[in-house]
Amino acid sequence: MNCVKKTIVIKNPSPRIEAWIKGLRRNKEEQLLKLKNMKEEEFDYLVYL
Amino acid sequence: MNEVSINVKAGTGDVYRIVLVPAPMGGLSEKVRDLLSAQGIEVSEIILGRIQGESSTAQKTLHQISGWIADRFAENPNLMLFYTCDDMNPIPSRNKKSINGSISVQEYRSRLFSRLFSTYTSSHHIIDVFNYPLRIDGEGYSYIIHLIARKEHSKIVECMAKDIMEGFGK
Repeated sequence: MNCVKKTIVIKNPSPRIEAWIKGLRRNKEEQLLKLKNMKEEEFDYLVYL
Repeated sequence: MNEVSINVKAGTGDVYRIVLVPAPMGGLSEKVRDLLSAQGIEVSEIILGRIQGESSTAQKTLHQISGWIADRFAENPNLMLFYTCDDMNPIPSRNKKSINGSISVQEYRSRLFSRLFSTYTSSHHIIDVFNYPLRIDGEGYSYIIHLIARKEHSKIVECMAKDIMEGFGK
């Protein structure tokens, strides 16, 4: 059974959704930047492979 | 679900951080947000980043990462996972001469995410959890989102998709 559904494509989203997408992007950017700026001593838990 | 995180250090010395944070659902209509709340559904966003190193990511590391995410999902029966494919960071060691060398960074991340999902679900005989990819094409941008949800939450996912589709072809 394929558990990956067909991609839903939305063209020309509404202004509400466009604003949401911008917010999601900004939020992700901030989260990734936070990760990038982490120092090893701040790592709370490490799993070694 | 509150924020949870883990760091994974690969044999190469590369370090990855996985964080599950409450996903920003403010863009959905009040009706859909009320529906999520009434059903006790929580949506967490997967933030995955490399914080050290630039080596290729080994299969073993990818399995460790997807296994940790799957464990958090299994522990929380009302959880949905949300992953947005960013184009902010390049993919180190990517083979640009390969057959998929010309696809966008977002598309690459989307395909990798779906591959990891499929590998995990098939190897663990999971048949009641689905990956719903969603691509939003606006003027001058394209954004890819994946939503992971249990079969029993499929009606809620449909409501969310319909809500996002509002304004289609404006």
